[in-house]
Amino acid sequence: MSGKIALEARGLGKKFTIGAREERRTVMEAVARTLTGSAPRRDLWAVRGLDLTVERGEILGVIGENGAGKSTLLLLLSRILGPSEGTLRVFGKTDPFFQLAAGLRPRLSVRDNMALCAALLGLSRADFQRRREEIVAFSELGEYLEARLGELSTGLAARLPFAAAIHADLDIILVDEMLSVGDLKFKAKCFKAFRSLAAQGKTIVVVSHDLDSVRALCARSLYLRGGRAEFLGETGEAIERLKTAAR
Amino acid sequence: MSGEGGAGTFPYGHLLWEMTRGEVLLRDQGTALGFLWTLLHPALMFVVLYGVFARWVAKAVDGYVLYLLAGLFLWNFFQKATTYALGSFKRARGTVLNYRFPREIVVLSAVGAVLWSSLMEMAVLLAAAAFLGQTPRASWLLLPVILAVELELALGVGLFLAVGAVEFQDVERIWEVLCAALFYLTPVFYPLAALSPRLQALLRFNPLVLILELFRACLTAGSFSAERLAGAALGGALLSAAGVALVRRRQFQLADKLLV
Repeated sequence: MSGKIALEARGLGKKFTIGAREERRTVMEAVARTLTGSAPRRDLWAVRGLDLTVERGEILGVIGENGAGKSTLLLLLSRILGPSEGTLRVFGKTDPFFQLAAGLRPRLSVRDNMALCAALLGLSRADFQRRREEIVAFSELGEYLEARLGELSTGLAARLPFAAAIHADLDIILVDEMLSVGDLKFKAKCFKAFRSLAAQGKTIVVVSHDLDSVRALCARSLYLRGGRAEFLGETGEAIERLKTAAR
Repeated sequence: MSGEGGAGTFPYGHLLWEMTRGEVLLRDQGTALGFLWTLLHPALMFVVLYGVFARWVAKAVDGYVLYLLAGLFLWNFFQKATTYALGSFKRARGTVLNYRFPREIVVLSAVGAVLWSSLMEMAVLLAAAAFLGQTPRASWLLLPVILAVELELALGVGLFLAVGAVEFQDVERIWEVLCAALFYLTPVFYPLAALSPRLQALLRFNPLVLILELFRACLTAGSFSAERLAGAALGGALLSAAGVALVRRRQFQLADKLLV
């Protein structure tokens, strides 16, 4: 880790090239495009011109309406997507941004998915064996271990990657809409875990539409609008600006 | 972009094991017959090909039953591994877009799952060879090595196909057609010597020809060419390395295409 800074973005932008008219992505279409020279495509900027510095031990909220670029930002911070412009420096291990149980296998058991999730989060076999009981205890999924993941409710299934990530020695934890699915008891447990991790110097970035949770958890928030930073600062003001814009 | 941690310490072996295990469970779990189901397809192909071609080819090939079984075994492995690898990124879309890990592991695990069932098929093949009068010999120890060379080849092709399939929707259809042609351009059910010298020379550009020859020689004649085996292994390794390099170079474009 390098000093106090965990994440640093300068002029960060991400664009997607999308079709401008209905067409199929096929080899034949590509050949036709090459031959005719027509390229009916356009650029869509999901995030643009973002300057952001997040310090170690901080819990940063990211809010905004649908399509504001929140999830794209998390994908950039997790380095799953590459930026189209600007620079991003990430100091620490920040593998996942876990969007509920996406990426796991609904047809396999909770036990198998737990092992897979831990491996995806970078836990070695030995570390997983050592922490398995803690992960099971945190997730409260002990009685569902042999059930298929797809048989669980959305809220229960979401506990699995969350519990694994909490125990995965990540330096930067990126959370997308996690706060809105758990029940009150599990949500309280998550808040406690987040605060404990932050106290240990871990950095947490929370994307959510659950403004009360963001207010309770984050001293500072980024309000995104149309892919750009509309406001970055005290969470209360960020929420007020979002509500004002929504009226 | 820059960052610390991760790359040097990430336990890829454990992740590869877990992802391959998941693929194996999913493939076998979906059917009541499990592993027996995977034997049904080559068994049916054997019955049809033997029934149709034995009258003509059996005269030119000693032990045609084993010749055909070995050919089908190696062909099916290549065909299944490349086809399963082709769709691997699309099947693992959620995993790729939610976790950061070396993307080639997705394709490796898909090919690994096919390898698992093929190893069991090879055990059945060896049992059949013994039943047909072949005496187990030292050269049989090289059969897994030759399968590993074919694995390299299938992985290399599979990596390119998997990247292409994310980019273009019709790569799966194109590969189906190419595979159908490749089957007849590979001496699975006929001997290469039955073709004209010109055609033989042409077919030698097909790397599966060499793999089939090496495998059959080890299985039935107890002989092998170390130089040819080393050459095939080197070629397969280079192709796989090129595939891995392609996946790594295009990892962000892959995520973009999977996302939108």
